[in-house]
Amino acid sequence: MPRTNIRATKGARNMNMISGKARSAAIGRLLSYVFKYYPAQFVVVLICVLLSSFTSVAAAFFTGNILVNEYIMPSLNAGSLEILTPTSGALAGIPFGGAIAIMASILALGTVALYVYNILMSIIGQGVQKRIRDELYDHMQDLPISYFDRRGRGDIMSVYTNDVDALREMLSRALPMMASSVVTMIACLVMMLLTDLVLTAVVIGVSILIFFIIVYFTKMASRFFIAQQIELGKMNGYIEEMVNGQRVVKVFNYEKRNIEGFKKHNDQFFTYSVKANRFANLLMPTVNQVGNIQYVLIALIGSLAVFNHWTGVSLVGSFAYGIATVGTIVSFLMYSKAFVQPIGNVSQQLNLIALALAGATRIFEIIDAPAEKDEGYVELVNAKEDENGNPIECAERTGKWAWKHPHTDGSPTTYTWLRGKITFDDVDFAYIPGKTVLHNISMYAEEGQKIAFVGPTGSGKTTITNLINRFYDIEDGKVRYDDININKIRKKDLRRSLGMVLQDTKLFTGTVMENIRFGNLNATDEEVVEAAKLANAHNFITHLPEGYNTVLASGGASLSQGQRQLIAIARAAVANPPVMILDEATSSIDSRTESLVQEGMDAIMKGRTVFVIAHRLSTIKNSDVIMVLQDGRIIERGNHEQLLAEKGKYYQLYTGNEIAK
Amino acid sequence: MKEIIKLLRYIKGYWKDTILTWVCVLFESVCEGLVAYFMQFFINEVESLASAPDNLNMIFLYSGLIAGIAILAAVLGIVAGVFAASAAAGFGKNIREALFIHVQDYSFKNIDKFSTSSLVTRTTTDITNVQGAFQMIIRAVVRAPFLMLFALVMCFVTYWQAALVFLGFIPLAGFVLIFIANRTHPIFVKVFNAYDDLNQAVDEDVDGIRVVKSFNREEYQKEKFKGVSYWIYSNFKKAEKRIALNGPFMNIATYGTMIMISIIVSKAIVSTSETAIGVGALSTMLTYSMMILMSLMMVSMVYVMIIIGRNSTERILEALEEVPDIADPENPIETVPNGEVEFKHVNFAYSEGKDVLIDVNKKVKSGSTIGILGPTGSSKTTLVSLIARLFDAGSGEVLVGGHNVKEYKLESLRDSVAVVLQKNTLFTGTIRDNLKWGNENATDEEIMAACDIAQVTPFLKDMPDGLNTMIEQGGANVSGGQKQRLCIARALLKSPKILILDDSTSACDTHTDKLIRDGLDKYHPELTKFIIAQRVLSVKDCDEIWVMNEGKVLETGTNDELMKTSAVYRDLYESQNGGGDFDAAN
Repeated sequence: MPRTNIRATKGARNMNMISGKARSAAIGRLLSYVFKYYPAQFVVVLICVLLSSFTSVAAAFFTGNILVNEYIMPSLNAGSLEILTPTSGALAGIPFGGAIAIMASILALGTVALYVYNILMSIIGQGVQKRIRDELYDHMQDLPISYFDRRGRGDIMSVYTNDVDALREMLSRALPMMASSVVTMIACLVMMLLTDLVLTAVVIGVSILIFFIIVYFTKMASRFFIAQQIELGKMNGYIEEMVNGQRVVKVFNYEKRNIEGFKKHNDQFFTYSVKANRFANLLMPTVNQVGNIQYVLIALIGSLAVFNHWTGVSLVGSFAYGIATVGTIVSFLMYSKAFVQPIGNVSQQLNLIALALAGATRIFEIIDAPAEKDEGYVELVNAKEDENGNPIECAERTGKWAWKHPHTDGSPTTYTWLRGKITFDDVDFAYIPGKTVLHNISMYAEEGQKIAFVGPTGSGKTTITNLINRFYDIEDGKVRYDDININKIRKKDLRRSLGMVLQDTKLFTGTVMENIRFGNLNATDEEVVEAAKLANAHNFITHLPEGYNTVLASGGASLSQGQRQLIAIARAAVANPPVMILDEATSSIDSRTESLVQEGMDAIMKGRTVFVIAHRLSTIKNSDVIMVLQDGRIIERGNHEQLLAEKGKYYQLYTGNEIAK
Repeated sequence: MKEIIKLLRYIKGYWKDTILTWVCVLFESVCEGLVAYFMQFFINEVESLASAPDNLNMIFLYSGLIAGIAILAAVLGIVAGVFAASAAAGFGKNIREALFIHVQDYSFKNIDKFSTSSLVTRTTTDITNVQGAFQMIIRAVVRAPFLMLFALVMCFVTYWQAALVFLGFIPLAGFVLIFIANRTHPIFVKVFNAYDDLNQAVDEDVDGIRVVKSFNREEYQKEKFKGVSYWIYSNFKKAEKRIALNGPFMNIATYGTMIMISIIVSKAIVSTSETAIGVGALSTMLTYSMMILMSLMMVSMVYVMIIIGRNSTERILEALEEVPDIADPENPIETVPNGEVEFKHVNFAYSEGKDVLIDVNKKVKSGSTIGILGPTGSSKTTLVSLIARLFDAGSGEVLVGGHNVKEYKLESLRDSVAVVLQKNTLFTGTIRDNLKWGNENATDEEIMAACDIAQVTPFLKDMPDGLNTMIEQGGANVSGGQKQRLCIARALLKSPKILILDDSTSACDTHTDKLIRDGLDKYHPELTKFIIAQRVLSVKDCDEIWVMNEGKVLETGTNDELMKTSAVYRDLYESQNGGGDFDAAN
């Protein structure tokens, strides 16, 4: 794993157009997490946002109206503020010092409110993010394999890295900012409406102008931002491919052509990046200065009103402009400024919100994807023998297992010993409906038999094994385990009764012990070591620096391929299932380890029903039945000698020669 | 700091844009300061309407002046934005290009040192981060200190007694902001590292989902994930709680200065003494105090950006400063005369003291075919890598065409030595594009001839668009055997003098394997060929077979000789006799 930066490039994927409807659905759903898990906190946040916004409006009101009108103007020539106190209004009788103290306490309250909601928002933001992340991961475990086939690994990864992260930015930064901006604007609007309707109309007019400027610039910028992101995705894709193939580049003296190819992308990215950022950069200076000009405009109109003794109309009635209303204009100027400022802030958050909602839509897409269905009702239970040798269910672990099969027709529940007999009855299968890849597969494996599949790549060997454990469901026909249709068996129990060793070994970060115990969480340390010995892994494990406690990082990258395989075999061995599905390695591992792996494989095959995708002659020769597959059909079957005698495809594969025609 | 100065080099070509940005931002800040400054006189005039209602002219004058300055500020701001955009994009472009080009000069050893995935992160994510940071701070870096300074000066000009308040507040606010940033940063670093764990958990789970499901370990995985997830949650919450102090603190600073200035200025306005100032001074002083505090916020943001960007910067510089360990000699030889290869007492070690090649002393005549057998880890690949000078021998000499490989121009040497790597790659593009890696100017006839020999033709027929069939990244849509054959054809198109097949037919069935070798012998008898293989059959007919183990060439000879003299060879031969590969007959 490369050290990935979570603030990494928001790739082109994030810029997919998401419909408005999906977006509003996403925001509703996001908020429902907040309401559901943090209702009290959310109410407190709302109250605090209100409080804090109102205090900032109050601050403007204070310096404008109160300070100037009630204290400064009356005392203008008195030489001191303390002499005259207002005779009317809310502050009647309160001296200047007292007014300041009141103001200071209101502001202190606002500050506390701000602190409280900042803290609560980080709790809510992180909490919701964690819940969504956990839900996402939990649900992902329950998705069918076909889902993972359809979606690339990188695609799923980017949901965790980019999309969940974008949520955080929105929840803990953009939303509170939006809320406080809206509250501030409403408060200012009310104050303005209470002061003068005409001036308010001017402010609203200018705000609409600013709004359109923002919409225009944002639109232009986002057009190029999308182009930039797409190009960034392409360029990084190119870099990734080429750096990964750097050895081939060197061997072919491809450096110069490589640089040319890269420069094309880099130049294109540069062009879009310049354009996009230009528009983005234009926004703030324009909005700020339009705000300033508006300020002047209001002051000018106000002055004219005072000069000409116009009649002002406010929501609470009309009044005459004159000397006494100068303070009113000053405070109106404050409101208008406080009203316009948040518009810029909000517009900067809009991109963030759009990005987050697009991400949320993708997150919910996964959460809503239908989980793997399991209608099975036949269970695997601990069992012991009754006097007739039939299984009866018991609570304690006996090491023996039976299928518990309740019947819907009211007849008593039956018990069948777990044996490991598998039958395929005329099975058809298609990954994509209509494109059948397995045709009329019929076969049976008695308890303890070894069935080998051979055939060219793409002939369907792996697909057959994926049907036994119900990674995929068949289209037609029946697969039975101990004569029970596997669709009736609970998936959990079906898979418990099957072991798998895949050619492409996947280990997890953790100790060797943990990795082997993955096969059976109840295994004791001794059982793990036993399994490792059986799989021939014990020897090399004891030579690791920390033995069984050696931590395997990055899927065991420090081990050789063969060693990883040995651990995977031990992992299957510790599960000790009656049926094993094995995929033999084709890749060339060193001969010493290879023979260890072979011995390990042979050891765990003993005494079990085994399906093996075989590459080794010795495995094939020892098999009870060999199935030769081609294009999704079994074209030949029989044991080694029979098949050689047939002189068909098997003979051809075996001898490595074309058949003499 | 040193790192940042080093990166400044890459503004090259965009210094004009950068400096113009700074100049414009500077004047924009001046204009913004002036707007606030004149605003007080303007307000004073408005206020004076109360006493002297006849000087509306001054009000017109000031509104015109302020509007004019505001428009100028807007224009300067826009121009600054335009230049800032190209400066930032240009800076990013330069670094990316410099790094990408530099990586082209890396030897295999250099690549191994960094690992390809880390190189990818450095050239993509890290540079995007640095470019983003540059874009954010290019304007702020001038604007913040200058606006602060200007506002401060204007405060002193307006009413110096009140301005003294700032001398206390600015250092205090700056200190607290930096303190919070420093306290938060280490948690963020921890969280980002935990993100790596989280990503890894998800990645492993998605990758190993079949294992998870076949062992019924869904619940187990969920529990494991919750651990990392909770860790991130709690630490991120901790960091955000600390950052949450920023807003209230700035509030206290803003409101505190506001109240103190209100008191001082109000008193001055109403005083009858000589120092009396206009009413407008109050709002101007308040505007300036906002400006100063905003600038402080900006400074702390720049500081945080620099801290966050530091990791990326270091990683980029590390890759940029890596010295390629294989380079052209002075006065290089430009042509390789023939395909003769000689190893003269060659030793080689990847890390000091651990020789993986020990005294290899062999000579190969031009045009002969050498088979190399031996277990993994016996250094077969390492040995042949020295021929194309993918690594340099530790001691001893490797000669090609009679000259030490170090005397050749690298390009000429590698043009003459075609290596089909064991871990090979095809690239996004058509089959033709991929094959043309061998020779840019190859005609379709030449391509088809190579395809015939490499046994590409039989499956190419079945491809929907023939040579125009698209290959997906990494060659995901062709089978292993097909990929190997395409790689051989690609190498043949180079018309080399020496061809090295490093386990290049392992995924092909024995029949195809033989057809390829027969084709090579028939159409390219002049080629010196090295064939590394696991299968005895693949090397059986070679002029000479080398059996290697633990870095030494133990035994050499033809098949017949080795059957007689070498027990190892005989064992291998017998254990493999009679069996093809059952997987690969495609």
